[in-house]
Amino acid sequence: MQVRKAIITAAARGVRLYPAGDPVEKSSLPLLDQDGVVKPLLQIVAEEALRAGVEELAVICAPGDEPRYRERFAQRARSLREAFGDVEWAEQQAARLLDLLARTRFVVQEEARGYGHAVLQARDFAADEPFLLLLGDHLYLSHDRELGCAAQLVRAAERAGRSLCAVQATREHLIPRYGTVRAEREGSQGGLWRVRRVIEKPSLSRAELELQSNGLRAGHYLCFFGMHVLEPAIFEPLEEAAHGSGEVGLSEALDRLSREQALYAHELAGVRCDVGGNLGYLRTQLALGLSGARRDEVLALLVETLAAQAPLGGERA
Amino acid sequence: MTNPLLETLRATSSALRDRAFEALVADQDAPTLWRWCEEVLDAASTTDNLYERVRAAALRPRAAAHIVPTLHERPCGKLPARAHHALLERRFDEALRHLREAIARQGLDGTLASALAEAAHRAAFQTLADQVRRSVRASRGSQWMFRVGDPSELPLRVRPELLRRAGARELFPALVERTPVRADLSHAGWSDIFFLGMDYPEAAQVINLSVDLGVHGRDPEPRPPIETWVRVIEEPLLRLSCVDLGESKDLRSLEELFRFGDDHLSLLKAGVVASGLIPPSLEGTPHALSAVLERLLGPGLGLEIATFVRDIPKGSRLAVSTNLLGSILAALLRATGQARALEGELEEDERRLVAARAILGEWLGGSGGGWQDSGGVWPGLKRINGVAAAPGDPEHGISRGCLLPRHHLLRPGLEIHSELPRRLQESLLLFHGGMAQNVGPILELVTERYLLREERATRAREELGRLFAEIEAGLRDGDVRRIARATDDSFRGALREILPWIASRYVDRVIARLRGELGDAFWGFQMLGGMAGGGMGIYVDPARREEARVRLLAILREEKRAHEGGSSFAMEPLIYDFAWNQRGTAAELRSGSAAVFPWRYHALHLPRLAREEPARVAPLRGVELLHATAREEGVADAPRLLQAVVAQLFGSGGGDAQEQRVRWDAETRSLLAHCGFDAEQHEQVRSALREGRIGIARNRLPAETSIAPPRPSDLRTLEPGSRELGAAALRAGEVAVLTLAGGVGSRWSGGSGVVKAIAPFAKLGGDWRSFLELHFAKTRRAARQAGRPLPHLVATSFLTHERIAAHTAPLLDGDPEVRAQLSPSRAIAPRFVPMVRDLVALWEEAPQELLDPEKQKMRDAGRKALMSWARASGEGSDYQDNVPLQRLAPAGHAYELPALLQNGVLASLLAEQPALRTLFVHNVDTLGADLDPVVLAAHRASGAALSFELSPRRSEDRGGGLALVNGRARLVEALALPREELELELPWYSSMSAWIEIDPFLALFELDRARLGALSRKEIDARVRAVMQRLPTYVAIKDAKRRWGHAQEDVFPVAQWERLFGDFSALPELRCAYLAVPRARGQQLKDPGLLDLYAQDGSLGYAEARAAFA
Repeated sequence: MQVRKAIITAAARGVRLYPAGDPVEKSSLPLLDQDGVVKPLLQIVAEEALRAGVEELAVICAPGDEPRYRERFAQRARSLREAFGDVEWAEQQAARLLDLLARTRFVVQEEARGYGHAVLQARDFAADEPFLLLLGDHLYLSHDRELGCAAQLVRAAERAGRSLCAVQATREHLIPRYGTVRAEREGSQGGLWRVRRVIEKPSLSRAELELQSNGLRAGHYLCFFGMHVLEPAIFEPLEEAAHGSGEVGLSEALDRLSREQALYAHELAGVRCDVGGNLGYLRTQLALGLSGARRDEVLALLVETLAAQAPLGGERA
Repeated sequence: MTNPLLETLRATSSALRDRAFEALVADQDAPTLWRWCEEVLDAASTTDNLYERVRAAALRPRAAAHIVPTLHERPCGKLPARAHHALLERRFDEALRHLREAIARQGLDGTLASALAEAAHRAAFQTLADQVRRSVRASRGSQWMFRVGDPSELPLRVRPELLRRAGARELFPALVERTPVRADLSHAGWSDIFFLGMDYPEAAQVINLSVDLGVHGRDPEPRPPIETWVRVIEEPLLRLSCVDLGESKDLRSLEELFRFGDDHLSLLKAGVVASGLIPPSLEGTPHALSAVLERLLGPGLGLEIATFVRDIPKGSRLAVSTNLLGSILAALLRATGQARALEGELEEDERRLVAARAILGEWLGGSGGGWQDSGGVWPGLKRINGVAAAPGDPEHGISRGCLLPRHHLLRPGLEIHSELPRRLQESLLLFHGGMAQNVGPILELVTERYLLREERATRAREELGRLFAEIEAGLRDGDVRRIARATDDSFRGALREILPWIASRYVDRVIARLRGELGDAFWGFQMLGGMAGGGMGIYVDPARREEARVRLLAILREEKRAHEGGSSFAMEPLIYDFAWNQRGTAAELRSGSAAVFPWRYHALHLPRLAREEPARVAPLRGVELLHATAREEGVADAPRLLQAVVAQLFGSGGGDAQEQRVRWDAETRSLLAHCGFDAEQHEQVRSALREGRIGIARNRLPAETSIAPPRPSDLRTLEPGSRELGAAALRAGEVAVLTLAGGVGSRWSGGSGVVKAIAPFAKLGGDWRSFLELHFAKTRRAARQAGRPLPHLVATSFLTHERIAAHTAPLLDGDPEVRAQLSPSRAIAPRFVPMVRDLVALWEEAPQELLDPEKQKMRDAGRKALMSWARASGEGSDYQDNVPLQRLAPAGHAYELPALLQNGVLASLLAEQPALRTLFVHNVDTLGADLDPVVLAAHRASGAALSFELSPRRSEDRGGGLALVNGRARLVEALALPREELELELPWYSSMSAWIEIDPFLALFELDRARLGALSRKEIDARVRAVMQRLPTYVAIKDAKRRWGHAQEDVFPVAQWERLFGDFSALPELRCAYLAVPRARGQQLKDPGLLDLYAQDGSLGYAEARAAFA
């Protein structure tokens, strides 16, 4: 198996990022990346995919977003060249942006009917090839300096020769936010699990009854990491669900796959940052900054900021 | 010789493992039994296998108990204080160790063996309770609740639907959960007790029906009797209202929530905790409740939960409380997204989650039920089976069965006959007999019998298995008559084989009369729950159901009147209307004006709100009240609401209650007047009590008093050869019996005020017998042997006289052998609201028996509340908030003897039978006391005026005994001992049976036979008073039950003073002797829970053998 394609879902607006998140797609919000360059979120996610060996990208966007994305990417490349002339890093960045744009196809999701529905829109793009699926509003920071999270997953999938969902052991009070799976360890090598059941955002009580996996610490569950390598078989249950009227969930489709065919998961060494979560934007930026090339500067900055703070409660100075 | 107990314990084949205990130990002597017992004790403490530990736990106490009777007559040793304290503090293994050391040191005796049996028994049930507790905590779906340590880790949120409303001045929607109760149609031998289901899941099975209920003649039609209303409020607190019990509280701290025992909201609190809304792990953490609520709901918001039980009385045996807990849990699981659907019925996995959480809630709340009890959460009829624990189950390796059983729905037209629901409803009558009962001991006994594989019980269990198949066949074929036959057979046979104590004379009479009247139309009796007397059922021919219903109610009422003197009733009997519930627990979301709570909720809250400052009342409460009273939808209920509110505001609980109070006051005054109550003396007692001159601490003899065990020479032993001496005295008419029956026996009925003397407590000689019937029968036998009628006096008090008179008249009318006569005492002492000082002395300073942690918490909270009650009601004031007979007490049994002089009974008896010179006095609950010529001869030979009988102490005997007090032998009450543990040093226990020589006794009062007949009542009274004042006055705290609502009861501690008979032994002018008598002769039945033990150790048989019934 070779994973050449990636799908990035980026249609959602960030409710928690209002009002700044209102006129701008979440994926366009700027962040200081690990390489020290400020980029839109979508670019950071897309570059993660490219580093994993992906050649073509599909970005699922809301109606009207495509021209904006295209225009902004082109504009940034132009600005870089205009402002920095023949400075080498600027030229490199501009070239990367244009390369990215050339590899990217934008697919419009006409109505907001859930995550699975967004993925389904890229069925034609995927054609009969496996693809890497990423969330446009999440960032993944690998514990492995050499290998990014997406690269870890793609490599594992290629080695296993099958679809793989990235999962992570998660403390129980957090699982009502995520798709959660019950799985059994597969083989003697660490990291690979056979998935038996998937429930989206379960209550803890239900999770205890149906989603406990052996081999984890007490009070921990395997939750989706927001990153999958999937084969086109996923589109069938999605298509069926889309014939109905409600939301189309990816977890429900994966649950069906886990029972009717086979579904595997791979435990990743890394952390995920949800830009749209509670204080997510700030947290993501801090995590990026502290794991990047300018880590020392960021740390010094934090200390300075703390020191400059007025003491809380006034009198206790 | 090998140890068959050990073999049985370790056997893998069921043939060996299921051998009956009795057969193994039959005919073994004490040393052999003791060796076996020690080996089992060792095995139990070294094995890791929990199954073995449970079995061993059950074998040990019985082995030890089996030894005890063989040691009855061996002089007894003393109980080591360390063992006693370890027992009190629930360190059972340590107690066992100390006891074994003592046995090794001083040899085996009855005291130590009985203590060992008790310690091992308690350790056994502790092991079993721990096993259930572990499984409850390990139950899947609930483990996370024990790990949340901080509000930020709370995984639950209240669903957005409950937070949605049209505008800021609108009510939040209300979630209404309606839940039926369950009726157990099979009664498969208590196989739903957790211990049984977890040890022998294959045999654990019941058939249980969810029913809607109404009280016939009161409610328009049956409906789910339980409702839980849940709603978000704009105040950061938890408002819990239990509308049926008239209690509501605003909880503002976690501490208040976790205090389960201090009000009637414990079930609601347990529901909140067990639902995970506020998980149990937050107990004792410093977090603010508002912070937790903010996490669940959002800033400034809170939650309100109100429950309604439609006035279904307690003791219905329909598992009302477990299903109420189930209802609260179902609603809260929905509200927090732990159940998928907000409305409608639950899915199977969700119902199982509710059942598991209900078990957790009952454990938290210190109560307990069976595993079928949450059956109302499921719809219709179901078969419930125990499940064997498999690898992967949390129970695997701990117990053989899982905590939770499996429910199989039995659907009409599929698994059962399509016509069955209609046919069942047309035949079955469900009713409440009105009795107040404590089922706890029954369940413990059943468990023990099972673990010992008792032969009779095992056979009965096999029979129940056959009857279960009959019931299933009846369900399948729609043959209700077949079902009725099976349930009737099981009540008449197998269930009583396992435990005879499940029935009562009341129930047997009701069934026999109805069966007689209806003939063939009476199809069968149906026992519900742990025992018969409360909720029960009968099957009748549908064609005569109406007639049966009318007659049943009439018979119940008549028999209740006939029995209520001696048996504890909580309410008038009633008949239910019921219907087959098809939905199980189900919910509905109501918004806008439909979200207004029912009028009875407002009747509870409106008077409280009226007393609040308007500015402090949350605006939404005003909005709701407007809805409830002024708007269209509330108008229909407004008059009822107004009436209830006015009653609450201006009369204490309404006009009826007020009238009742006035009536009770008048009755109390007239009782006091009749008894010649001395108000001046009462005030002296009150000020002594208030000033602390008398009290619990002052009951004790001074600390410097020397207390020592008696010397052998202080006791006289019985000489069988002297029988003829006693027999001659009986033949000569020199002896009469006096049964002391002035008290009501607080321990017997937990303070409910029934007259113990006339309680039909056991079947003896083929029929139910009261204590007095048994005593008369023993006198009858003595009369036959003496060849002449014998006088038998019964000392009564104002509390017991009328009811004993009514009971004895038909028994003895014209009896040629027993000449019974009542001897009423007029001693009367109004009870006091206790001094907090005395409650502290009793509950906090004296060594107390610890309970298991959850129950201990309940008890501590309850006691705090009762101390506040004492303070608020006025310490030392007259206790008045109860029926007259609970406000007053007889002043102790010491008064029952001189009453014979005061009321003229002795004078007329002496005139009639001048040869009379000795009275045999005994307490009404001393089963084996009789006119034994050998004992009489020993008394006569002593030459004493007063001979007390003493028997070897067993560990459970409390109440003092014979001691050397400052060098002089006398009886001393336990409450008078300077230190509690001194009692353990006194090897001889006094059952208060005594032989009195009449003439020296008269002389004590400066009387003789002639003067007794000649002096005026006033003169005799004065002499009696002069003597009685020389006896010490003790203050005792007794339980007084207060009944209210629908068979609800509260128990209050009340103070009373008393003087006790044993203290006559301290008067120097009365020469006293002490007779060592066999243990069974002094056996006292203080508590119905002891009946089973006495049936097994031969005490009941001993008494029965000395009786001649008719």
